[in-house]
Amino acid sequence: MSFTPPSDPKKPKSIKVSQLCELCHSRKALIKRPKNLQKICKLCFFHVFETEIHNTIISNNLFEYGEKVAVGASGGKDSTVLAYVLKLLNERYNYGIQIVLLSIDEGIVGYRDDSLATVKRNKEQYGLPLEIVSYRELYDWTMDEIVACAGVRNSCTYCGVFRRQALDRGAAKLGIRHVVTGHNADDMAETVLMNILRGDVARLEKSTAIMTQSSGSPIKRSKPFKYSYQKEIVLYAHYKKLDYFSTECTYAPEAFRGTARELMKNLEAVRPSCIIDIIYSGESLRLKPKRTKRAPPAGHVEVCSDGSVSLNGGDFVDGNRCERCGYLSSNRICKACMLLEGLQQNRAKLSIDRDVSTHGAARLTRTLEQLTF
Amino acid sequence: MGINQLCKRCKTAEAAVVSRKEPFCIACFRKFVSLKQRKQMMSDQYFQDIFKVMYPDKKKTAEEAERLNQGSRILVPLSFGSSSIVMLDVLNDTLTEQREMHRGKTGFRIDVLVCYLKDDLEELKRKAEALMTVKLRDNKNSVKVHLVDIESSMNSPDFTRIHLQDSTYMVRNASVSANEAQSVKELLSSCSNRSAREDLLNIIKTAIIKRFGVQGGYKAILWGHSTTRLADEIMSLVVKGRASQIANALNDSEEDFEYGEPLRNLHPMRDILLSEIDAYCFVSDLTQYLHKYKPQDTLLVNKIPVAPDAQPPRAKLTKNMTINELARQYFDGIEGSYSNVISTVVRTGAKLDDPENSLKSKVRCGICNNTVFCDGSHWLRNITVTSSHPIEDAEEEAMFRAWSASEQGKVRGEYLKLTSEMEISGHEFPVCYGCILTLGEVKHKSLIWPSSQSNSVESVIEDFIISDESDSEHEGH
Ligand SMILES: [Zn+2]
Ligand SMILES: [Zn+2]
Ligand SMILES: [Zn+2]
Ligand SMILES: [Zn+2]
Repeated sequence: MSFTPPSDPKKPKSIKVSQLCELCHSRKALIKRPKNLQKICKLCFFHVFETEIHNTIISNNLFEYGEKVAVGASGGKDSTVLAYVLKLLNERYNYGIQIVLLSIDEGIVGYRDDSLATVKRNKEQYGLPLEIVSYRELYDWTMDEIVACAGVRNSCTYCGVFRRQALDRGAAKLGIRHVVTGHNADDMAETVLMNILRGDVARLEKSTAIMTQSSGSPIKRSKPFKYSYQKEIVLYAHYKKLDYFSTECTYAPEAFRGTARELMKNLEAVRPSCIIDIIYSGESLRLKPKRTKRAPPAGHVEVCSDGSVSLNGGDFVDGNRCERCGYLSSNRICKACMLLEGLQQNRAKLSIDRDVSTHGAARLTRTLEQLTF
Repeated sequence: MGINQLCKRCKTAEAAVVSRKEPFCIACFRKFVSLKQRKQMMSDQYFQDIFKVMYPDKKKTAEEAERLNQGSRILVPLSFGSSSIVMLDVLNDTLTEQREMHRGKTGFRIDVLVCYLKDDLEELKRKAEALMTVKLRDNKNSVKVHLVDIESSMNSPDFTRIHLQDSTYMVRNASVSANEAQSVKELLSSCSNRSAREDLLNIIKTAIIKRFGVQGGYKAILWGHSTTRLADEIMSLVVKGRASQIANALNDSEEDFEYGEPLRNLHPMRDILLSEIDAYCFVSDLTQYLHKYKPQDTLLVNKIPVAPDAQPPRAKLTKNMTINELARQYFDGIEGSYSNVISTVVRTGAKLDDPENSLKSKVRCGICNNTVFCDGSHWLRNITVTSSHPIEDAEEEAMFRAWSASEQGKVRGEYLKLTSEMEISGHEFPVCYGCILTLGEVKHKSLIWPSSQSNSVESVIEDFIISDESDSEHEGH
């Protein structure tokens, strides 16, 4: 992100009436809100930013009193601000939740070292417990090994699938049933556009869901930043002087997603509200009722575009488990296992003299068995 | 120079166009485009009944069959862009074929509708006349042209002010006297950016066309949108918070009740790419009829030579582009590397349904007339806090008092004055989310709109039928 927040100037001696905050009319406006271009002061910015997140939490009933909640903590700005704001709102409005920082160590040398150090500092700064779960523990592969094997081009596919499962598996290991993530409005809008551009009909209606949970899964996920602009999150972190690590994934986004991101940037320059406008649109996307397809012949196995094998001719079945690892999956074999299998075959080819593949696969199965719910 | 490629279809003529990786000669390419359009025109029973030549059979007499043929009137809005011109050309060829095959009989009649702004009238008249006297001459008994002044949409006995209060996203209206009425031109110039201008002009044009269609009792309106144009439109609707309109906008299989009486829409060019339509324009000598549209020669084997004195097209600044233009630019940019995206977007759009209605009753937007499914003001209020952090010390208290005492505190310019007037005398007014955004980009977030739709479009039509005199006049030249 090339966005740099404006610096905090010294308090001027005399303020003109025209320079006052458009909300409180008593302090100098310092920030032009990216969301609606309103000119507001720092305190009002904190107020609207925090209150909007609180409103999102309350109107969507995100939390139950007494619930244990894991914040997916990467040390990046989104998750750092999330941990900070959740702790603050929990105390201010008495949600009665217990917050745990949950960090995933993907095993990217250099990249994670700094961000994990940040998370460890956040632990001290906010007085929140921290748990770190590594890819090595979960998958027996580090991200660096995956990239070496699959190539940088495909890394985002792996990154996405493994990271998503890692948080759930990590939370399950800790007996926590609710994971909150720092996905913001920009991510949400980008997902809506991507699903339309890719024709991803299965995900279209759910693109903007604030809370997701497969029936039968013990883990629910929610996104309290659903309506928060990335730029406002950056501004908030800046003015609150929060300690975060700049974390764009070291592996650039897959090229097609990159084109959508570029489009979003141009659209935002023309109409700043377009991010929430796209989310509004996303919330109204609904598919026509499916026309009944002729049943496939018995024993028919459908292979999905992502290479996974679907059950029951492609209908989404919740609560079904992966044959390999027991993780919840709509397909017979979950996406992570599919990808891991591809990797194993590659690794076998790459290391003829060092027979690690069978060992790796066996260990993986064993490890994952212990993690089943 | 190497030997030119041969057409892959007839394997005899030289290729003039390469589309979807296939070389076509002119005749085969014209046939390819024409068949794609005609396939849509035969897509269901309703449209088959319109376009087919009817004959007496067990169910109908000869008179009834002829009445059906005469009564199959379709409305073709003509923008003089490449798509609507090509669509009309294919319709014209269809009529010619029918006359040849059915001994003078044709299955349908065409009414062309041209919406114009005064500055373009002379040019459009000239082009319409050229179309009628040259291109459509053989079928002139089956084609009629109507010109409607876009300004006429503001002809109304009463007007209403529609106003957006930006602090609460509330939209209110109050009736105003006729002398406060704005012309379309004034309205468009009060927009703060090109996107808002384009949106309002489109809303006005669409209303004219659909009302004309309903009042004229046409069997269908044929829209010239190419696949490319539909993809832009779908993306733009999503970006403008108007995704709930997509299902209705693309619906060719059910009746549209937007203007009271049922109406059928058809997008016969939905399977044809804009680059193919442009190529068709070049190879069919149709470019002379285009108005304010520059066709691209990307698919032509022999590119059109650039005039030596021609200025290179100036690249537009992103900030000055409309949302539709940005969407188009995006699709143009990825066409090479991700060729299926355009058709994927259109296919996905066609799978959409109306959203669930979260309102108590069925309401239409007071500006664009689309169904409102969700209270956009309420939605925006829920996610945007407009209260403030309390005043903390004496210094701030003093500032606040200074603000309250100032002109800015009492009435911050005309906008706040207008807002407080509307708070007193206005009523809550149903407007869709997309139109709330558009209102926010008009001067004083306020516009004057005709309050009754009772004035019919027909009453202001300037009928434009090429008479025999003008025909002979042309022959005399
Ligand atoms: Zn303030
Ligand atoms: Zn698995
Ligand atoms: Zn040919
Ligand atoms: Zn509207």
